[in-house]
Amino acid sequence: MSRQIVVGREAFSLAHLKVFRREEVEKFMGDVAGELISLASNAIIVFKPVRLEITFCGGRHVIPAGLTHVRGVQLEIPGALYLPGYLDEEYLEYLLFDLPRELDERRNPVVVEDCHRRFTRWVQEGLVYSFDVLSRIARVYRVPVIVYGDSESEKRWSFARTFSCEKVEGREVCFVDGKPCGGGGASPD
Amino acid sequence: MLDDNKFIFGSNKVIVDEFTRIVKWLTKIGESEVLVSEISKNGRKAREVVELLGKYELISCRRRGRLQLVSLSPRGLEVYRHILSARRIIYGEPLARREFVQRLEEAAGGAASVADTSSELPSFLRDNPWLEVLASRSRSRVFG
Repeated sequence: MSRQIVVGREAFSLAHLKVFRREEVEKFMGDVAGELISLASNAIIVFKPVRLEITFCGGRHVIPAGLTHVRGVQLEIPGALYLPGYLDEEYLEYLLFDLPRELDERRNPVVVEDCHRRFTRWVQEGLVYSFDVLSRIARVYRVPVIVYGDSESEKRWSFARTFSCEKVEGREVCFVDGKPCGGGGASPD
Repeated sequence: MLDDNKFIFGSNKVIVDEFTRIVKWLTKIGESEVLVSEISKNGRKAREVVELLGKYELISCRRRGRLQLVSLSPRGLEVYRHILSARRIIYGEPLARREFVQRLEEAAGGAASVADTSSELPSFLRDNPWLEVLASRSRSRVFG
């Protein structure tokens, strides 16, 4: 078990603290923010990157640690951590407070389904905030985070990789990083 | 005879110029802070890379005990942003150019330090109503 910092009723690992932005620590943790920021800034956490290999469009593709967007196709990712179907503030709270704890226990790829349907209000603001949090989690824990979304959510962030399939004139066309790659069909490694 | 900035690699004797090498290694390091041994398991090669990128002030190095950590300097991040931009132009530009450039700037602006809690808030989080909603929930979650 890594070193835990207890704040009020919550305990955070140093890696977890590093996920937060300074402003978040100040807003969420109140008076102890300064000490927490100092602890997190001075800690060096170096995890070995986790990466995935999938077969898609007949080719093998590496999904690195970072945020990857998938649209119109389902990838089977064995051992992945699938997020529960929380919405709105419950979803964001889960991302900031609970997901890092799951990754403290086991650093596996993370899968977020229906990222574009996670907000019932302030949808765009929520979407970019969630992508920002997920990017930070991916960066600190060095795991791939795969988000399933639609064409709109795909435009809302600079993803490490994108995989998508869509119907064009009745024919399914698939894309890798925006580049056509032939007929659909994706299968896990 | 090769130019000063040309290098020969591998059995196929592929000639790679210095600029191409810089692009390759900047892309590999990206926004992360990495151990020198993660740049290359070959210690000599890793040192060469650190020297090459250091020569143009593209990286910042720091020691932590026996560990030597490398991350891109602000200058390196600026070049890295342009590399990402070029890749998007070549392989497809899903975002409107202005929006994309803005997003890159925001992402890279916080990238150097986002994970060490010292970054400035990017524009998409300034006045973001969810931050206040979360602040209130988090305080009651943490302190009851």
